[in-house]
Amino acid sequence: MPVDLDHERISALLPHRHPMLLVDRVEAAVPGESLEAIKTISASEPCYAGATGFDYPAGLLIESFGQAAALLWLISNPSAAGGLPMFAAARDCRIEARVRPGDVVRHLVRLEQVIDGAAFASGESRVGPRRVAAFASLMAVIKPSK
Amino acid sequence: MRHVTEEKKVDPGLPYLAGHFPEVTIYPGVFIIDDVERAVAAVTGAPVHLTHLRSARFLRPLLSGDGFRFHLQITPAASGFEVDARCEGPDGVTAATIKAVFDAG
Repeated sequence: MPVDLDHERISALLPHRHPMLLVDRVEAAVPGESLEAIKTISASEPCYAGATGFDYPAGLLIESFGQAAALLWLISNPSAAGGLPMFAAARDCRIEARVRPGDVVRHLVRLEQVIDGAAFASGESRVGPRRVAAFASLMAVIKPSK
Repeated sequence: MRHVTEEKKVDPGLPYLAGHFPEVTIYPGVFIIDDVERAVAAVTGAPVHLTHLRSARFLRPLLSGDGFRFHLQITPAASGFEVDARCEGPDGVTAATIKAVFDAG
């Protein structure tokens, strides 16, 4: 399906802002089903300020996948927009390879279920042909913004 | 198995907080996973990296400036450590629980 969201449209959907907005582009989506998004890892991100390591923090990689999942939820259920999508739980996520600046991470997200204001997603992240992370289940809830 | 307790604080100067979110500042739950990784590295004296997040629950948001306390159970495993972490917010209520495997290196 020809869904292509650039950073401006992503900003209109997600409340996250720089430097915590961790999805650069949505390249494909089937509302209610699946979404493909990319996130380019940059050495200029705050996590590298004064850092001695070069691996992208796992928490930020998981957050980036979670934001891609939130975008899929929001384009599938426009009534969910307006609040703060909050990461509530995760189960069985594997980080299989390290990600570093210059890598273009592609998140492949599936929306598993939406129940009573909670969404469940699964999927994987790739760099080129290589799977770098697998997510069995992520759960998010919408928190009213005020 | 080692039991460790560590005190931390949500640093209001953390650059990421400005974008999470502009209207209300909430410490991103996933940062607790990275905090656990750093704590395990500090306790064991060598770098570790997350390979398997068995489960994570974010139960109560932590706000800018909030103090929080980690209770970590660290068990040596084949390639690193099994870690069971509970994070208490400033009111003593559990803010997050994390079970994960961190490999050495």
